[in-house]
Amino acid sequence: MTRALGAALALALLVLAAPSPVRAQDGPRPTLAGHTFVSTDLVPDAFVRTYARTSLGAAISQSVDYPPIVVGSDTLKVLNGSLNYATLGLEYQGLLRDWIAARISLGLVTRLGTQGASLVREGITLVQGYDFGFLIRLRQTDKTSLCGTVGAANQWVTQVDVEQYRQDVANGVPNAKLVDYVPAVRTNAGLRYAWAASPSFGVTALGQTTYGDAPQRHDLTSWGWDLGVSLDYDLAPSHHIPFGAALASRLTSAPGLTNTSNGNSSQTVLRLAYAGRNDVIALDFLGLFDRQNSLAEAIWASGVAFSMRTYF
Amino acid sequence: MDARPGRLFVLVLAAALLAGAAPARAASIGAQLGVDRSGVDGDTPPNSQYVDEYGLVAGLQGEIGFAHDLLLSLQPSFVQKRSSVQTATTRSGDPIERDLAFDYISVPLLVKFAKAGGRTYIVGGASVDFLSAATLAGYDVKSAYNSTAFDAVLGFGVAFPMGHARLTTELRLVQGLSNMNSGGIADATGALAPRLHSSGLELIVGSLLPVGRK
Repeated sequence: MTRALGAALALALLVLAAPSPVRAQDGPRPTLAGHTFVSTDLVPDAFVRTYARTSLGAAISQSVDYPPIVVGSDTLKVLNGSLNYATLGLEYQGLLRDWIAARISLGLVTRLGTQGASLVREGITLVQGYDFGFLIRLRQTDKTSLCGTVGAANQWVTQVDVEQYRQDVANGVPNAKLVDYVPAVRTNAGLRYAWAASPSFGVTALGQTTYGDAPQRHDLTSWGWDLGVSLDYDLAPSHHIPFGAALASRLTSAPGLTNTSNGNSSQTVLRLAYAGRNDVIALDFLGLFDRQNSLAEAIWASGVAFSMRTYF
Repeated sequence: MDARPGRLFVLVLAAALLAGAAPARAASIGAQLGVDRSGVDGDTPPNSQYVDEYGLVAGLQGEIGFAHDLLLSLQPSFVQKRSSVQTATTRSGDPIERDLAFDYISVPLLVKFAKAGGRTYIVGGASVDFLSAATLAGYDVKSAYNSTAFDAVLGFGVAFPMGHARLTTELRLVQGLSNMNSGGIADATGALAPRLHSSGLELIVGSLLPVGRK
């Protein structure tokens, strides 16, 4: 909690130090060749700008088939279950020069088994943390923008794992823990690319590599990667309506919301947004794909998020 | 104190002074003093938690302008990172507290982005820290920790002109990037669990005197 307060204080100071905007374009929102980008939280834009963002969302999984629970020589059949997710995000990016911006964000994600079976098998997971770093403009043409990013993230995963605790107690593991706490600090560096295909359509892509504390306990450190792409449509040029849409997907090598070795996970979002001169007020339809090695099938979850972003 | 970090401190200090004294644009040198609440964060012993405590930051600083309103700053400093380890007792009563203290020779290399005509600035960069001492409840546990650590730094500062000099006040978020614990040694000695990072805030007051030509 102290860390989060420290990060929040740093965020507040960064906001107080908000520089006067230095922009080449007419409006504060990122624009290239007459196209104003409708970026998503999942695949952030590739422009050095000053903005503040908040988001709040929830998702629920499909019904999950769990394998039977084995206790000693007994096998217990369990019913299906489901999972609930909730997300909260807060971010500020401040322009330092017209070629570099500093950013800091706070995030909170929870995953909760909502029925007896899923509560026992999946428990409760809480992921919280902050990250900060810099966005640097590397190259910009009439229709494209390329930026580099570098940053560091401090994340804490708190997991109430009833199933693991039951297994540890049954196996006589000393100091069996019902609540596990996994801290992870990771650095990241990557590229973001934006292309204004036409006044109405734009494409944003990102590639990022990460290095630091491994999500799994049995490894000290690990490398990771993120790939994302977004296609956005702005109605303003053709219909003079301040409305936009974006479809974005992001694939990451890190496991979704666990500290077990689950392989890649992916998220997809469809954004419908009011896109004013300074503000983007969006409703996001979320899709989450989270692979669980213990299950025959991967977990799909869907939900909605409300997001607001203001450019200065 | 280990001789190696001491020699390194002198070397870095000399480099900072040379960098500051070079007849380049907008160079300054000075001293800084402050407090940090950059304790440790990470794995704890069973039924325990870390509670951050205040530590001392003291050192020198040298900075040089390398572009319009951009300055490169080198700040070799002595930094204390202190926590207490609170362990719950099995009986009712106060938890047992043991002090966990780290002394580092820290060498931050930072870029300052001056704002408002140089009255405020955003600072960011990285720091290399060399461990000079580590104690747990007064016992030397230095061998259980890595001798070198790396940090990321992001901060905000205000500069007050005082004649030719400037008084600076700066608040920084300092995030340890590398694991402080040496892992295998910790397991063998029964020391703290292996995943441990420093993290927290530093509040620093400093003075800067211009040297060389502008």
